[in-house]
Amino acid sequence: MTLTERIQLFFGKSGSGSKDAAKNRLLLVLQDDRLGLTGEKKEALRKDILAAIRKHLDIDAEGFTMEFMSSATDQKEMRVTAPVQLGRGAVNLSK
Amino acid sequence: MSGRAIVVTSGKGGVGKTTATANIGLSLASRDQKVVLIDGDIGLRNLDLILGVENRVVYNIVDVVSGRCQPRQALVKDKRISSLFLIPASQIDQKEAINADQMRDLSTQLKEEFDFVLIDCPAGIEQGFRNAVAAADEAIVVTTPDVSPVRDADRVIGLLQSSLGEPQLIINRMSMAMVKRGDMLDQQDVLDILAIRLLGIVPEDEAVVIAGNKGAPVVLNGGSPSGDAYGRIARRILGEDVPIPELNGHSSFAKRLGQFIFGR
Repeated sequence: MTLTERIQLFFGKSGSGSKDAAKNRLLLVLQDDRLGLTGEKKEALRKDILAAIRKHLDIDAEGFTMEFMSSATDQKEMRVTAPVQLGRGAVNLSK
Repeated sequence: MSGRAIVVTSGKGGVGKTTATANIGLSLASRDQKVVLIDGDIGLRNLDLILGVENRVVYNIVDVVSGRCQPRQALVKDKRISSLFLIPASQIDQKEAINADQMRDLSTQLKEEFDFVLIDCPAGIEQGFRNAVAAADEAIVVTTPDVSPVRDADRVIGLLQSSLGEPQLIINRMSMAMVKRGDMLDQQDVLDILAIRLLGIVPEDEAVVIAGNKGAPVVLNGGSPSGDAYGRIARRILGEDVPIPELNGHSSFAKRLGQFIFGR
C-alpha cells in the first residue's frame, strides 16, 4: 500500500465513491417504476402545471421544467421542483 | 407432514439464483431436513450441473407433470447428502410446457414428503416466473449490489407482494474492498432502496467459480466465506437467530489507524 493510499484509507476516502451515484440514480428510476410515472405522463403533468400557473402568473413557458426527486429518508415522500422564469410583463411591472 | 415451498427468484439473470438454491438446499439437508430442489428454468437446465448430478438425470419436470413418469422416478438423489433430491428441468421443452396449476399441484404433493421444496426460478417475469411463484408459499429474492439487478429486484418484489407477501433478500457477490472504497452499494444502501427483510449477505468469492467447475457447491467444503454465509442463511431459514455480520465497509478509527501505521 502506498503512503497516499494509506492516507486516503485513514481519512476513510479512497476510490471514486461511485456508489452514491448508483443509489441516487436507483432511487429516482425506482420511484418512476413504482408510480408507473412514464415519460409521457410526466410531460402531460408538466403541461398541466404550466397551464395552471399561467392562469395566475405571467411566467415564461419556454424552458419550464419539472424535476421529480425522491426523498432519501422517506420512501413515501416525493419532491417536485419546477423553477419558474417570470415573463417579460411581470418583470417590467415589478420595476 | 406439510413442508415449506420457497421460490428463489431475482428478475435479473446471472445474479446467483441457481448457486443460492443449490447451497441453501445442501445446507438445509445437512441439518437433517428432507429437501427437494426443483429446477424451474425449463429449456435452460442448470441446477443439475451446479449440483454435479448431471450424469444421473433420467426424467425431468415436464415428464412428471405430463404423466410420463411418477414424481418419485424423476427425483435425483444427491450422493453426498442423502436427504437432498433434485427434480431437473427439461432441456428441450418450452416454458409453456408447464402451467401454474401443474406446478402448484406438484409442489403440494412434494410438501407431503419433504420439509423443504426449493424452486429455482428462471430469470424474467414471464410464464416461468409465474409458474415458479405459483408453486411457492414464501420467496427469497437474490440480487447483487449493482444498479440493474437492484432495479429488477424491486420489480419482482412488487409482483411477489401481491401474491406471496413480503419476500426476504439475499445480497450476493458483495465485495468488501469495493464497499470500503465507496464504489459499491453496501447492505444499508440496498435495504434503503428495496425496504424488505435481509436474509443474508454472501461475499464475492472465487470458491463459487471453482465449485461450479467441479459440481461441488461451496457449502460442501467448509471454510469458504460464501459457504459460511450460505450456512448462516440456512440456519436463519430454520428459525435460528444468527446475526448478520456487519459488512457495510465503515471501518473504525482504530482500524484505520492500524491500516495507516502498518499498511494493511
